[in-house]
Amino acid sequence: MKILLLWILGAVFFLNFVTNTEFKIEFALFPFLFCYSFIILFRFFPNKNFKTFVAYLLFFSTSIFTLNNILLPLTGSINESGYIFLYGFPFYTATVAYLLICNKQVNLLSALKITNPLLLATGPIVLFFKNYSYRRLHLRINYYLPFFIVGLFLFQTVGAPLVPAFKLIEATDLVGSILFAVIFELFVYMNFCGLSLMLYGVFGIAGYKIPLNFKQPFSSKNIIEFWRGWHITLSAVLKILFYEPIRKHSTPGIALLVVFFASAMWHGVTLNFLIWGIFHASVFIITLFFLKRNINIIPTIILIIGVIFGRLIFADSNTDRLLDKLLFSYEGLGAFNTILSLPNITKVSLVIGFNLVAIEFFFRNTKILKKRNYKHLRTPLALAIMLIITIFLIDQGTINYAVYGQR
Amino acid sequence: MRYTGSVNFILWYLFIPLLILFYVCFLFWSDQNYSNNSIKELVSRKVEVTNNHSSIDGVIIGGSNAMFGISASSLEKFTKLKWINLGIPGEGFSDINYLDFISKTIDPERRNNISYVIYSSSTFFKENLRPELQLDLYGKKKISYKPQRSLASYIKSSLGFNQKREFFLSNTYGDLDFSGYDCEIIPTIEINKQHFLQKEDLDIWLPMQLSRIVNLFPNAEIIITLPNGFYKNNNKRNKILKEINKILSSYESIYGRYIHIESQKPYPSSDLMCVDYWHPNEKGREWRTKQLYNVLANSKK
Repeated sequence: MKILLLWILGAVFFLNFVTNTEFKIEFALFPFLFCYSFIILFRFFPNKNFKTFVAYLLFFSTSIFTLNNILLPLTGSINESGYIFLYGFPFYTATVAYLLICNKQVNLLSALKITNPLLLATGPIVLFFKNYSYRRLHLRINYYLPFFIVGLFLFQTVGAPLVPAFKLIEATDLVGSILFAVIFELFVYMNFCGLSLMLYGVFGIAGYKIPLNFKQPFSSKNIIEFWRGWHITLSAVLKILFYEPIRKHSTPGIALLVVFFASAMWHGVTLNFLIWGIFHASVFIITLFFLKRNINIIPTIILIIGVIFGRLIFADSNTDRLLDKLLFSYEGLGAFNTILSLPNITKVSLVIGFNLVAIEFFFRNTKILKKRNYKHLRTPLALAIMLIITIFLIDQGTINYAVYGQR
Repeated sequence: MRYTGSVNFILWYLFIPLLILFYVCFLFWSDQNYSNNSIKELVSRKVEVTNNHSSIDGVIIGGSNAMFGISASSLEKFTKLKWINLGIPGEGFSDINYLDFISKTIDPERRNNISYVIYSSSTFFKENLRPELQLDLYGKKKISYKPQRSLASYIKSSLGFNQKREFFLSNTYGDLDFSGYDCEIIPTIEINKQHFLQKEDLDIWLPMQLSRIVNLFPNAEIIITLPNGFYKNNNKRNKILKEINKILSSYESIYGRYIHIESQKPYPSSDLMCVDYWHPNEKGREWRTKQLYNVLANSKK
């Protein structure tokens, strides 16, 4: 009953507050019926090979749909598919694929959990949805409300005002491209991580534990640690579906290449994602090479380069423009003028955002940051400061959308 | 540590709830006290101007580019017909708001007698169609979890830091009175009008908007003008112009009257511009109005 209530609340919340286009109840109902029909299907056909085949088909169905432009590639800009029945499709198909490969028992209740409209709009991929109601409400509020406040701050106060800086995507020179990549990386982090933390908080208060999708990815020394903290649920799905089965028969390098290829295809079948997948797989393998030889400084440099150039490739699905950018032509520092012409709120958000990332990175070995669960932002003092800044800056002028949702 | 604990307790159980309470109060206050006085005043004076005319021959409609860029008084001189300018900033923030404003401002009897409508809209330059009814005619948004304006901007205004330019209106024709308007170009204001509506959006929007205008002005010839700024023409512009022409030619026979698209040439000099490179100053307005008159003269032939 409580799960159903949460599902309805999720739908109502989106109906009123979050979606940019008109929300229709079919958006939410179709995913539920889709997942439930699969659950019934596997009751009648429990064959393991059949399940495995369907799991991979489901995972790559997102790629197939982006190939036909039915779903839009996930570049990070506002992407809303014209096909309302595909609302949150990449998330729930990935969840069903994961559950099938893990051979987990699924039922009507699981379908309601997986397809909660809140989770479909923003992620994360629901790998688990544990009942946590045995803890008293005030204890849950004490623990989970700070996650919600931190998430709100990252999403609304830091992330949303960065949208006007996206005009830098047009810049094809070296400085302009890098500036765009850095700002866009910051935006994606603040947006996706902020929403994930907010949902972690909301579901926690309601008595359910869902995966924490981000764990301070910038508190990393190298790209391997970075991926352990970034979009963790997708990494878990990729590990179960691709890395582990391929690793049994092949080298880690090949397994990694396949993992990043699959990840790229999940984001969309476009040239930039293919390049992005190969690029990140290479960065991962090179990092492994250095770490095996106990060389730590080079992987940190590779991390910075990898994240920035990875985002540069990721964000631009316009092939001609991307190829222009990859020529790395230096045309002066004109791009900084664009930054100066941005609205004040965007500049303030940039400063706050870079400071937050810098704190994550430079203080990663301190006690409060070591657990990588945003404890440094969850202290009452930090929460009070974040709330004050939010109250000062929040207005209706900013564009809100879930960077990983609503395709 | 004991002291830190009590500070945390006060912050968590007193200060943070008070902040949240303050924010909720601020949300309601901001909604109740929202006023965009310059637009409100402009709209009410446009209504006043319209009411002063017992009959109108031509009407200029559209957004700020129509308000800044086309002069009803000059058109009256050129054509010897009675014109008014009903262009308002943001074109009413939604098509429904704007056309509702027009239908309420000019009564049906006078609308029936209007012979010319010049429609100059920035919607052609939007990457996506603007959503309907998210804002009212004055730009006020529906109440939500975000205030109408940020607290910082309220404080900034109260300290006198916000440089908002007021609109001045000459009373007879609804034209903008540039004599009181500071047209100095602000380099940080960048209006990119090099984007155009996607074909799919244009195919939906233009026929819909056209039928609304045709219904509002049942006996008028309609001249749609594709505005321009101090920008060079590009291929995208020619492409959308072709698409618009295609749509208009099919609707011209349906509605049985003259419906024409005019693509404005770019302003020849930055000296003709006001505040940014999209809106003209008084000289720029004269330049554009003359161009439009030529189109009207040709349509008469």
